[in-house]
Amino acid sequence: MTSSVEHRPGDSRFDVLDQAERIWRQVGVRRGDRRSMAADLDAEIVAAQDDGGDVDDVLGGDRAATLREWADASDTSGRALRLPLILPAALAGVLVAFGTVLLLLIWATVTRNVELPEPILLTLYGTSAVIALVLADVAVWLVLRHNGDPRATRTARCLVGTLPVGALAATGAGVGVAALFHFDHPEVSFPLCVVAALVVMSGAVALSRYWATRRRAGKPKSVNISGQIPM
Amino acid sequence: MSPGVERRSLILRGVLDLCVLSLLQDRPVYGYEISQRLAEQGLTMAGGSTYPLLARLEKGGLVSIQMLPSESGPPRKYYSLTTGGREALEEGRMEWRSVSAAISGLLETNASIQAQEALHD
Repeated sequence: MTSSVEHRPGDSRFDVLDQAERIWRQVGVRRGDRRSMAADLDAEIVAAQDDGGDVDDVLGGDRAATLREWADASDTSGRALRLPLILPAALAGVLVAFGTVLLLLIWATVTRNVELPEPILLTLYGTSAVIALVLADVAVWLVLRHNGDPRATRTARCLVGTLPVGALAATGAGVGVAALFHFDHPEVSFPLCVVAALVVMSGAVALSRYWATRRRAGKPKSVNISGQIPM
Repeated sequence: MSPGVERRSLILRGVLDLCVLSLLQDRPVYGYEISQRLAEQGLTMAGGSTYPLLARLEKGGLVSIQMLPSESGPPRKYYSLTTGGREALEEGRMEWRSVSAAISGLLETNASIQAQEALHD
């Protein structure tokens, strides 16, 4: 093992630990795992420095790649729920779809004074619901993928199942809240309907992510493991 | 990278897990020490290769972990072989013997044929 003599900026032990924290957070490692892995990394850096080595001896030239691989290998990446990231993305997808249809309706009925027949209206509502679910799913996938989350696709697959159920439940919750007010007092009941629907949809998204980030049970033990080791 | 170095690297890549398991059979060892001991044996690998491999071995149940205090700095993570690790090492050792014997036989046979042809010429 050779030590590089030339020191790069950001070579201090604490700079490297900061970099590790950033990268592990980006790939969705949970806080507890990050702390534990940082403690291991710190101990290894100190061991290398005690022996006259440096950070490169521990992490190699491409530190970011090693840190990501370390998280992947220990099955800790993509395990964080990341709700502050995915909930706004999913809700934005829903809002864009329904907002577009709403604007279309306003344009047609108010601006152009067109009276849309019932079948067209129903088709429009149904289509907008489907588009909303697709956009929510795609938005979550994009935001996770952009942040390097290895379980982005798995989360999107789970959402395909839970979002329609969540949408039905959200509709039920909205109607239920309105029924509590005997379908009256819209100034109070309508905002509460929206909140109830949002809470139920958020629950569906959170549930999908939870399923996507669980460890797979009964994973076969791998013995042939050195194939992916960079040399 | 020269062809020789590349070949050596490819061979080592295929048996690095066995080399690490072998180092752990006598006593618990920590990550950086593993890299150093491999280097002492002439098995130099890129920095950073050890830790993902150790994580895979741990995930596969082949090594167990023990935190022990160090003379300087924070406690270190020491790795030791589990029963599964010993079995995997033994299996790997037999595979290696079989493969290396076959390859050595092939290479040596061809080398002796070439030497005889050279003598006749």
